[in-house]
Amino acid sequence: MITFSNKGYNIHISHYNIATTNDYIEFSIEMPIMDNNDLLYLIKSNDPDTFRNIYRSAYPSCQQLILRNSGTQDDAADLFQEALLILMRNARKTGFRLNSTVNAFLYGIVRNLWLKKLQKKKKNKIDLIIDEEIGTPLKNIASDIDFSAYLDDQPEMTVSKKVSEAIATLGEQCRELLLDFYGMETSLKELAEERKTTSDYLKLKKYRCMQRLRAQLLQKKEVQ
Amino acid sequence: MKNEALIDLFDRYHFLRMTEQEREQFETQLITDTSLAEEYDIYQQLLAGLKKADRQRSIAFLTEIKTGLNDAGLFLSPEEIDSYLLKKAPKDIQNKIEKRLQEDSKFKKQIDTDAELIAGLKAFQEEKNKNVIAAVKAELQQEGFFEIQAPKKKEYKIAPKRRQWAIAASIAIVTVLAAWLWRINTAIPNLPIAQFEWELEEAKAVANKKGFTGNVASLLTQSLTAIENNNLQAVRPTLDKISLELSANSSSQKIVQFLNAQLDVKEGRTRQGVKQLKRLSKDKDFIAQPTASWLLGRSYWQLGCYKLAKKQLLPLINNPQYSERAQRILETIE
Repeated sequence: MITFSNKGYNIHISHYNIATTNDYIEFSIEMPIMDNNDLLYLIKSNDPDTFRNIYRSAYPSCQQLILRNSGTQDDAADLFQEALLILMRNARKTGFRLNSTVNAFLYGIVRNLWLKKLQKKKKNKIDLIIDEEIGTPLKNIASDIDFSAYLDDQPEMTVSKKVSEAIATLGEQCRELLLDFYGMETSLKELAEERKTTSDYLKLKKYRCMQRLRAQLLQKKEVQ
Repeated sequence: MKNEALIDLFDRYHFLRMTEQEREQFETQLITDTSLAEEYDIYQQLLAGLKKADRQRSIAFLTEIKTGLNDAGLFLSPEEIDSYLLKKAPKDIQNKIEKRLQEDSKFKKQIDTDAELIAGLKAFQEEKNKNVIAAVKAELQQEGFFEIQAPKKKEYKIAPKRRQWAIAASIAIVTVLAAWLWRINTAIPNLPIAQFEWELEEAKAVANKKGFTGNVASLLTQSLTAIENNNLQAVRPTLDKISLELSANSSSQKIVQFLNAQLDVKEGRTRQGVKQLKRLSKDKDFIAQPTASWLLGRSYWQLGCYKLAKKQLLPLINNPQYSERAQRILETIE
């Protein structure tokens, strides 16, 4: 379904350039409502209860998979944690859709991570043993997901101390907005909906926050 | 925003009409001079369309600038720059930015700084996510959640009817197994007993008994002589001949069987011999029954089957003929 809304004039001002459109028309394509939309919303909100529930429902099958394939309980716990981080990282990204269940998604990620780890050790093709009662249905549910797209998704963690300090000195509102937009790659439109404001306002705020952050970094570099 | 000179300065900065040096100077001033920064904020709001009165004029002017930049192929929207920084830009935007990066050192510096900051923001967010998960994990660990989740043992559900069959089959298997084990434990080794001593008293008595036909008596004597002379090869054919002469189940026939059993044990067909002795030792009508019983117990002992030997010899303690000999063997067993 396509919706149109006339928002009048819309002016973009940035440090880089200036853009303007007259009679700005915004249109968006509505995605079909998914069963686990609410769950994704809670994941995005970093709600601890949600993660506790995910652990309780999805972890046993993942642990069974690892234990049946020469892994330990610690391996299972570590891989599941990694899979949850991948889910968190992707949940906020614009365009991320969970076509399967969260359990199946996590099972698939854990399965692929473990396969990758085993292949690194043995350097030849490995087939994992999958429990027919639990594993096969989960694997089938998530059969259309290309998990490899999520596996190399680790952000680069080599960040200078000055950058970390500059981020820490930002006010909470600014930091949250920049973390959501750049850190989690959530669109301004989605952020505006969450914060019950307009994306134009957030665009301006983001620009100012980024400018403040640049200034902080510059200051720290100059001090040195 | 009363100062026209200030507006002109901001205009020149925004509409890229400053030299690189002027731009640097202005930006440093923005950071250090708060009142200037405030003025600049107002100016930005003005441009953003918040002040209606100036909007039309601004838009017309800005559109003109945008068109100019577009014609030069240098116009970049903030969204395009963000998409480039987040590595999501389409190929054409990517090329456009890279072209500008080569031409505009100030822009390049800006992009490098932003890329550095975005990497920092991503790492900061990742750390934040990790902390949320780690806190939940630690809490669950304290509850013993990870230990509880060990895979459940698979339960096999069997229908009641099948269960009955399964129980019956199990009992049968256990019974067969027990019988086999018992047999293994009590099996008699088929080994010749080298120091086997014949028990011929009763056979001799039968041979001397009157009333036998001459043939049977002479054959029996013949066999006994062969035994005493250790000429065992001649014994079996003679005993077979006697057996043919005698009626089945007669006491004389049983004596022949008794001799045959002893011959079997002596010659190493031990199991067969012991089996015969066992049968005769239980036959109360057999005149040599105590002797058969003694011989059986002694054979067990000589074969190393001490449990069987003890069981067989204990009742003989009350038998005056064998009491002493049985006692001697039993002492060695205990």
